[in-house]
Amino acid sequence: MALAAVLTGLAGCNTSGCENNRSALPMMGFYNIRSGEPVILDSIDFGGVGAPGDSLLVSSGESTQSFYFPLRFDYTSTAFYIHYDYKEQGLDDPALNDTLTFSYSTKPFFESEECGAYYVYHIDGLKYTKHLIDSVAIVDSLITSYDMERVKVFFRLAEPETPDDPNVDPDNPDNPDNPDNQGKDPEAPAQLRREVRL
Amino acid sequence: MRRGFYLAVAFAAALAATTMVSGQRRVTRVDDPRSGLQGKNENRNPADSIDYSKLVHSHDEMGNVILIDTINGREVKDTASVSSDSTSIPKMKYPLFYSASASVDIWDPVMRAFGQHYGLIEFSGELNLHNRYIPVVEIGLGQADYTPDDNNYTYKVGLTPYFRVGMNYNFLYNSNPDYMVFAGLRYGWSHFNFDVENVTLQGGYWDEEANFNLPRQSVNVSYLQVLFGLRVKVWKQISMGWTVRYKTILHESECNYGKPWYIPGYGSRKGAITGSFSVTYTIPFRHHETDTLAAALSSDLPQKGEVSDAPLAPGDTIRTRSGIEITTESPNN
Repeated sequence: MALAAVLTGLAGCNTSGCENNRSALPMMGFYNIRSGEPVILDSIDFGGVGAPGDSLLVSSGESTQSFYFPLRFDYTSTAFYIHYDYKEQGLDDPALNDTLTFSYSTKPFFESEECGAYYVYHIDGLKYTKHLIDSVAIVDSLITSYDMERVKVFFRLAEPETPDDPNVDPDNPDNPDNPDNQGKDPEAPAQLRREVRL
Repeated sequence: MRRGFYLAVAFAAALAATTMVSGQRRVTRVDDPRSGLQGKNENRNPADSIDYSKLVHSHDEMGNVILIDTINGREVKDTASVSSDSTSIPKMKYPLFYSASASVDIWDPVMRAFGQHYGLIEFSGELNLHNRYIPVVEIGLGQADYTPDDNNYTYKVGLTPYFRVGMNYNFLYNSNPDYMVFAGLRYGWSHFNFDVENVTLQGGYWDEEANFNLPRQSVNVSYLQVLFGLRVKVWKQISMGWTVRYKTILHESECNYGKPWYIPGYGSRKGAITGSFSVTYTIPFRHHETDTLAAALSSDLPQKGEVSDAPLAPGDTIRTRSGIEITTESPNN
């Protein structure tokens, strides 16, 4: 019995879990164009154009810095939109939505016994609007199951405006008004402002 | 006055004698009475000489004379009959071509019975050199047809031969060849095709489904195995043994649609350790006659404790278990 258990264990020892994603899932991250630092947005909707039931990948109210955005394997391009839900700044307007359209080629790929087979994508092109997006960078155009950030979206962000407090020393390192601290706190939700480029 | 004359004559005589001695030294040989006995054994009898032709003896692989004690069968090297150049310990006790073996590896069939999804059977041939260096050729058949329960594909490799060559080194090379403890190296090579079929993708954010097969891929793989093993004779010429093998891929041709999971001869890509369990049939080669005699004497004579301590008398005959008769002769013959 013990020998049978050992042999069964040896024969079945290769069925441990897959350490990577079981599909090629690209990841997107949000960044501040001024500082280059990651930013967390808490009032955006992010979804696929034509997604079943208009389902969203990111909903307003969620604090998001990065997330996965699956591509369609039956098509050669997939479009996503960003709706800004910042009502106080007057950005809650579908006309200000930004859209990103990825064009790509697919290839079937067998990764391993545990992770199985799926499609990998090679991004051939990207089109995007620039309402509040400044630029988009593609870190790696080959999308596999390896878990890494492939796309960086840089936004034009306005820093939160706070009234001047005469009791606060502007040179204090803990003072958020200190220019040295601006844009360096990725944990604080950022405020979007539509900026006009000169 | 006369006394003075005598003194002068005596002095002159003494001076003349001294002058003659210093001018001509003589060494006179004196015979030692013991010299007549040196190098001779006064107690020696003519029958005390060792007549090697009347002793039971054989020769080993190095040409040394091996004297055999007919009482207890013990062998003693005759160190007096060998030159100083050949008195070193022989490195090889067994002959160059000692034996050949054929083995079947039943590891994969057993493991498949316990849930392994690949592998079929393997055979190997060996040539035993000096019971120390053992060149090995391994030939096997690999196959896989696997559909994991919790995944989305079927992996197939048709019936594919594979090959390995290498060598074992037997650490017990001067011991009983019925037991082997060895380490070895193998270089393996396999050329095969593999298919990944019935891949299903479904659901997800876009609620799409797909069912496809990957194109067939042809692969060349070479690999190295480092092994350690044991083998024990179990019955006549049948022995059994196992090996534990560390494996690593040396070269692999590029695959556009993903690397193979199962490689015939190498096994699963995942994991670096594998093993074998072999049943071996050994064919001994015919050796020199004196070796056969020595082996017969050493193994067939009564063992220690089975014989009387009384020495054999001239003319006594003893018979070994295999029928060899040994007769002691009178020293006078």
